[in-house]
Amino acid sequence: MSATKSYLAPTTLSELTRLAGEPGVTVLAGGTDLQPRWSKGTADRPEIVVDIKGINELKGATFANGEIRIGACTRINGIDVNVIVREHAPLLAEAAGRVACPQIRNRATLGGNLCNASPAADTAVPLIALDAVLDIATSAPNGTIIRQVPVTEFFTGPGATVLSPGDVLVAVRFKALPKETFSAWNKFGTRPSMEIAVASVGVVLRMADGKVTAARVGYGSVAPVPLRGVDAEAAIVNQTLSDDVIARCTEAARNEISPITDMRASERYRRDVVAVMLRRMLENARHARNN
Amino acid sequence: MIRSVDDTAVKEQTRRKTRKDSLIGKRVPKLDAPDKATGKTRYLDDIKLPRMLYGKILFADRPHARIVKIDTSAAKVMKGVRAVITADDVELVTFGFGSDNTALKKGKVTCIRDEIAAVAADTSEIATEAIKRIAVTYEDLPVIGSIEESLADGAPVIHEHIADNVPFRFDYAHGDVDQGILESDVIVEDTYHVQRQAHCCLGTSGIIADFGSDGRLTLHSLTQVPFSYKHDLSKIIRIPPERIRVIQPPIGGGFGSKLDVHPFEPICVFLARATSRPVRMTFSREEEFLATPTRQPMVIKLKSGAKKDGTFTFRDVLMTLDNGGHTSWGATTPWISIRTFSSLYRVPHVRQHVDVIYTNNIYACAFRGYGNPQATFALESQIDGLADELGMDPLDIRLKNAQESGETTGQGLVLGTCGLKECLETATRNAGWDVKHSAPAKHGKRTGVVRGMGMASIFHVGGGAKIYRSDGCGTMLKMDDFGGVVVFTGASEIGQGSETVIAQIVAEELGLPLDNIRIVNNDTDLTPWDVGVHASRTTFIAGNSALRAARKAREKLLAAAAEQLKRDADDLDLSAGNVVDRSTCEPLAPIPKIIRGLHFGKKNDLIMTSDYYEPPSTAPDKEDKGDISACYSFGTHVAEVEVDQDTGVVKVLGISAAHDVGRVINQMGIEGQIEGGIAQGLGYCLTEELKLRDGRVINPTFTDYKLITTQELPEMNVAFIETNEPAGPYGAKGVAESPLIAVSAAVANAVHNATGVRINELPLTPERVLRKLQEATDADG
Repeated sequence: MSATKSYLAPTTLSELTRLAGEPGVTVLAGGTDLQPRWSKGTADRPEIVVDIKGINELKGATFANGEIRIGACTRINGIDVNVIVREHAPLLAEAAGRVACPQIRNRATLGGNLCNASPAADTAVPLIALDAVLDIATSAPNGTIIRQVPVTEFFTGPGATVLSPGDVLVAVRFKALPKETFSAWNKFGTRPSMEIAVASVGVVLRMADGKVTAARVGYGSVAPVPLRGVDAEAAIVNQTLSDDVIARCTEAARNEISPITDMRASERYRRDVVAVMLRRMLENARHARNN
Repeated sequence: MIRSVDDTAVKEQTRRKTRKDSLIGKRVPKLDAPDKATGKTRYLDDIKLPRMLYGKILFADRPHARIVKIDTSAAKVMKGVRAVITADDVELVTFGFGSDNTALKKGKVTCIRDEIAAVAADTSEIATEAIKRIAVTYEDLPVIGSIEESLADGAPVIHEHIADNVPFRFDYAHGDVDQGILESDVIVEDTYHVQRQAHCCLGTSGIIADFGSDGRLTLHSLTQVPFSYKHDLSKIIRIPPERIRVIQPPIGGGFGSKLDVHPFEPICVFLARATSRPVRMTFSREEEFLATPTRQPMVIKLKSGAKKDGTFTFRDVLMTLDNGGHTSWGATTPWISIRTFSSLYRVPHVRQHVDVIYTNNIYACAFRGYGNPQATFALESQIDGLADELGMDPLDIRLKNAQESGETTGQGLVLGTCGLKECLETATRNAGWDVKHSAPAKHGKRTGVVRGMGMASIFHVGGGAKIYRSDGCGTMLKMDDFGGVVVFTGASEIGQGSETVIAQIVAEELGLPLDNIRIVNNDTDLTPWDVGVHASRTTFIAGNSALRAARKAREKLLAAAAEQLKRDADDLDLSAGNVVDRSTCEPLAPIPKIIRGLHFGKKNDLIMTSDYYEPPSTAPDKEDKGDISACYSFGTHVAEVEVDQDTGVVKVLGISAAHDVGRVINQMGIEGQIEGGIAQGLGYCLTEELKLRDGRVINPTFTDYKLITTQELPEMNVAFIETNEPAGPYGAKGVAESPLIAVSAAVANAVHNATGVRINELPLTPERVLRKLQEATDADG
């Protein structure tokens, strides 16, 4: 029976980075992933809990110089209705509104959803499509150092990230989508709430003269980590979204993901629904373009 | 044939229908609702007795293995541990419907939930930790994870005394199926697969065992059958039943899961005996999924025929049940399945053969519908298949063969009142069948979202089921000097609202406000015998018993009033707390005053009555024939669905239901039963499946065992067909199980209507539906 010996609640980032490197420390945000594991005994309770909910500089969304910054400790409940996010990154608002259920969203944080590093993390996929960069802080002799890691490089495996002991995710940053950009995100499951994605897809498309000029595609629950769809992107860039092009794109998507068969769905079914979701998004993009 | 009824009952019924203050048929909130809504209800988990210990069980976690050694030494020395027991520490008595289970296991385990050892400790944390410190050495045996594996040549034997792994076989026949085949113009044959469904009671399993210094045992138990429970348990724990008292705290759902004695119950008694202290044991949700029984998976081979005009000719049923590693009452669910095959529609030739198969899966038990959801899925799917073959509308073929009032079915069931045709007509009319149901989609490019409509009907016992020697229920009733009434009923409340219905009936008979009635229904030291809450029987049986006890009190009260008021008893009535003039309704005296006149006057008498009601049904004969229930309920469900043919997602847009309920007693309660049943039926149809791989449960959480949530509920249009069953209280029949039964078939038929593809396996998960659509497309070429 492991027990937590101390509970610390710093109020500044520099205090946090200093504490985070100590042995036996686990950083706690919303706790919606950690607490159930501790209660069920599937993870040992840490010796020291460092709760970051009291650090204001880790909270909230801001918009400056065309860039959106969301603090890692920002509650997911609120991101879905945040006017900045809804206006400049609607697919992230959409994904935030579908995480778990309202009660969990009220507690869970954006940074927690990323650091938990589930391949099914709902917010990771839109952030891949948004080309987001993560600010990671570490304590240094003369203060705190912040380094940038693209979200596509953040995840290293199921439950694993590039964070080393002492590293703390501080914020997520991405460029606001230009007005004419098409974006979409969806996850597949059997119920509207309390659903771990069988698969999820996010896309951001820029179009000019009927052609796709730039594309970002992301997938969830179909690889050991949330994945960027490089081949699917290549299949549509500089192309008109004809049925043939869409078919090539979805075929590329089927092939570049590496889903597993588990109790929620088979590998084959995950490929099927990724292709269907992506096809429908691209058809919507074409339709939006034509109107 | 209509059963004979005495004239008084008919007169009473007519009088009550016209009375303005009648409670019958009104919307009455459940009596336990305010406490539940405000958090005041004290569930088992809230009960803490002085010096109480916490019990915990070590489950095998091996589906099939020999137990080589159990080492409890490390657990025994832990501080706070008061007892550690294994099979070696207690007298082992076999129990269960197949006499193949023991409280703790010795020698070998036959499923992962088998109980190896148990601990009683000062806290549940210590008990949990102690369990982890028990070391068990196993020698694994080959695991039988399916019916096919169990029946394969040379399959390992699971229980020594059953060499072929088939502990039970049931056969039934009426007519001559071979003759039926000759009479048929079309014959349809299919195999249906239905899955393992978990009860998912909101309240998990639990018990408190508490010995008095005189050796008497008090159990705080969640059983649905307190009296037979005492009897069965007494044999296992070797305590005479008269020395056992069963108190039922508020039960958070039953659905059949609490029909048997489960091993944890005697185990908790053993722990209490070992420690001479009260012991409480409650399951976590994960334990609930792993260590409680489920609905039995079945494979049903069904063949049936019809003449050109749609007349049914025969039905041939071959059914195999995955029993799991032990046998509960659930092995007898085919007794109910067969009644749907034989009696929902007229069919002259019927045959059923059932094999109950041992596997190393967690074992199965009773579950709302009792074999009927499985049978109805197969039967009502196949009726649509016959209609297709004949080019008939699914409604027409059902109307052509539907039972009617007065018929005696091939199995000897006497249908006094039968509203099936009205149910078929009402449910389809409300659903817009004529407009929305079109001929099944022709095979084509299976893509995009399509809509369809399908139907299925229901047959179930509505007046109890005479399986035991008695299907009765007792009631005692006492009135105090102030007009307060306490009703002691044998019927258990498991959330279904029976106490409210019983209070309504008593209040109605005694002309008192509902507030004056208190129901005592949870203590075997106080309440008279009842066979238990199951078979949709409580409103009918306990309702009749309460009604008769109340009528006896009423007669006595009216006689006292007649004497005191110097009037003829026939001219008096009871209404709104008063004795009134029957014709003018003018109040003559408050009821309490009459009671006090009786109590303190010359008579020195009290109003206390009792009744034991035994329904007019007969136990089945050796051929499983006979009028098993006092009446039967019927219903029809029509489902409208939308199918996404690219992903396989089935969305149920609406359910139109019509139920022959005899008569509505509590409008709000019965709506809750029907809507709740539809929700549970939708789960069975679309999402719910406890999945096992080689005997191990892989989804023991609500994250991955998917109940239907409120967000997915369709529009439900529920109509009540009131056939006024003469044997029922005020004409009512039982209806508790019915609403779950037909949902799967109605939805599957709607999916076929939408896509042209028939799916004979449940649940209709997106992946299964998509695969079946793809297979059909491939088959088309």
